[in-house]
Amino acid sequence: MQGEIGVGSTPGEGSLFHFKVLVEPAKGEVVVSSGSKQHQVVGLEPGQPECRILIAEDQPENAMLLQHILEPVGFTLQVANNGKEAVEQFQHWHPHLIWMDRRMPVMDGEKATKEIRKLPGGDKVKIVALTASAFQEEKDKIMSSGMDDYISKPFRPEELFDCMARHLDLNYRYREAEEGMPQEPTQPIQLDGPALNTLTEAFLEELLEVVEAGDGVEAMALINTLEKEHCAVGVALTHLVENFYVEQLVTLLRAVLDDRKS
Amino acid sequence: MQGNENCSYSGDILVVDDAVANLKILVSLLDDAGYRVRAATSGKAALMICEKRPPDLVLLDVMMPEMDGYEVCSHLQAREKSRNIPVIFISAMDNSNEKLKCFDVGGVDFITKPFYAQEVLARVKTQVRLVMLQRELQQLRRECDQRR
Repeated sequence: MQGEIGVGSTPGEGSLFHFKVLVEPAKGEVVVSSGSKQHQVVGLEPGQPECRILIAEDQPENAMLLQHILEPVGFTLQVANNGKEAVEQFQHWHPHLIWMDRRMPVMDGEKATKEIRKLPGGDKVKIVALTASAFQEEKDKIMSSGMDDYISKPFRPEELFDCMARHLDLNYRYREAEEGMPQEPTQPIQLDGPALNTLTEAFLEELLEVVEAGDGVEAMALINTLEKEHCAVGVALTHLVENFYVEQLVTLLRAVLDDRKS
Repeated sequence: MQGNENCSYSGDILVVDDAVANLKILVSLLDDAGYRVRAATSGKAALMICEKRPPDLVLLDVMMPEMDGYEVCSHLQAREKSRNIPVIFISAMDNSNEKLKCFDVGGVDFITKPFYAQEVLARVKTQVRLVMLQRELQQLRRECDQRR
């Protein structure tokens, strides 16, 4: 790539860094990131067969994060702690897709992929790498090892879902399509006084009590007692509780209760 | 702000971290291990929670905006209701000075990020056990005092 880079600096005044890069307009198809989809996946469309997903990941925290994202949607999951376990579990469990970490003890992701490809049915399973590398040559190496795709870390849940839909021909249910459910608002959610004013004072006081104690379990138990007519407020409250907006919720509840008493 | 009500009481833990993703992982880890878990994303919220209903243990992130972990721990130590709550710091900073500072402000242990699940559970278990033993001792002492 041609171009130039330079720097000029005057003591006491400042520095100027400049660069010039020669680029040509892009040719061919414009690839729009699938991550731009704004809908929140809440489940698989009914009538789809069971979808077994193997997570090959040696770091429990990372495996747990994937489980957290995928399990509620309805995937059947198993975790392998290294490449060797992934090969063994593939033989016994026949997953449809494997999320394969690249660096693992005992056997790394690329070696495991090569082993799986040699086994009966190994040519059909989809294997997707999770990589922290941003370098193209690394990505080429991933693809040449026999994997079908890769996702760069850190990833967004939508990237995982889109990748799985591409390879497994899946259809999802999205939050906004849920009957009677309002669309998930962007955070931080705006839950105002008038909305909370539709709830009884006893409920608000009880909720304030448990939220001040940071007790999400009790808060959720209370929210779940709300009648159907308060569904929208319930969803908004659930969002705040599940995302730990303790301070905001306390401020809001106190303001509404103070207003009522004055 | 999750918990596990299906198992016997094994400890009530408050996790404090401004990064919701970290918080969710820690909450899930401790919840799965059978602890009752509460959570806060700021020092201010943590202090309010400890004042309202003190937990058995606090897992506290060091680097947080507005009020960092050191300040939160100092406030906890200064308050009657929370001064005996053990605090385990969690931080990506791994140098001796930072660790010493955590102990200086009243922390009882230190976990380095990225953390390992088993290490977190082992350290939490040790501190919760100490809390329980302390309570047992206090109870025995009270009973002895009453008999005299």
